[in-house]
Amino acid sequence: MTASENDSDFLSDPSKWVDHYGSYLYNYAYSRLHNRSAAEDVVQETFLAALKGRKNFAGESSERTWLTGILRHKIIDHLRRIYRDNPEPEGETSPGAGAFRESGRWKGHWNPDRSPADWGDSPERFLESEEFYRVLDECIALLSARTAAAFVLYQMEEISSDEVCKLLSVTPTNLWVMLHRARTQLRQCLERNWIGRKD
Amino acid sequence: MAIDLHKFQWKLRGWVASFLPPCEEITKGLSRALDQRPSLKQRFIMRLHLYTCPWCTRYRKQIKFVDEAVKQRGHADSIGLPDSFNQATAERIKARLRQSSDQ
Repeated sequence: MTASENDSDFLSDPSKWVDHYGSYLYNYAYSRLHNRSAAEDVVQETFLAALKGRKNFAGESSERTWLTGILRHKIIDHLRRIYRDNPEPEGETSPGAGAFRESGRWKGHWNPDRSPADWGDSPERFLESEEFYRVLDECIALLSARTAAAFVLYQMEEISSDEVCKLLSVTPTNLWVMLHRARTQLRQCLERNWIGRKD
Repeated sequence: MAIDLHKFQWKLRGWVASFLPPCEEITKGLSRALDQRPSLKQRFIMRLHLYTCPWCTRYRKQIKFVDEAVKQRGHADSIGLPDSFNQATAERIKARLRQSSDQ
């Protein structure tokens, strides 16, 4: 069905929205929140908001784009609610515990058995594998919730660092530490669970 | 002679590395550099460190890839989740919608 042909029918029967877009919107929400019940909640809120606002749907975009736009706001709101009035405590600043030598002449340099492995010439080819994204999802879910939220908002939603700081009640310094921690831990997790598993 | 040259190169790299901040500091700088352009001095130090350190060179390449992978995940609509949106969830939401549209 195209937006132009059947908008009026489609918009008059919101239960169809769930069959058509439920799965897509749920996957979108899950990829940002990494929590099944939170993903379900925001999808539900999205449909309810769409039901109330359907008169405003101008048909300029597809229904899916319209619903995704609402969902995106719901996800950001959901994260804002969790972290509002709950500032990030100053945590440890080094995410690579154990990865670096703790004493001796080469203190602070990579431990030989924890140093980054060779991922081959073109890791970009992993991006064609669905299985890779499942492993990536699992790795993101292992990050602390606020670190995962910061990385998702900044990288996936491409929200500016100032805005992410406001949304998650963190200082800019804290945000840089969180982004570094996310990258370091995701790198390690992918090395262990994707690079290691392939061989 | 070729082997000696190789050894000399590594000795030189080790010597240079001993004057530079350690990998732990450099990895922070490499990560930060993905978000904000570092100063000329920082860039020079990182470049010199990368010359001496194959592991930080890999780290740099791999965290760039992590950023790209997470961006791509945001666009990857069709990834099937093991226990994704099921019929029970769909019915629950439909019931709420019906309830709301009747009001």
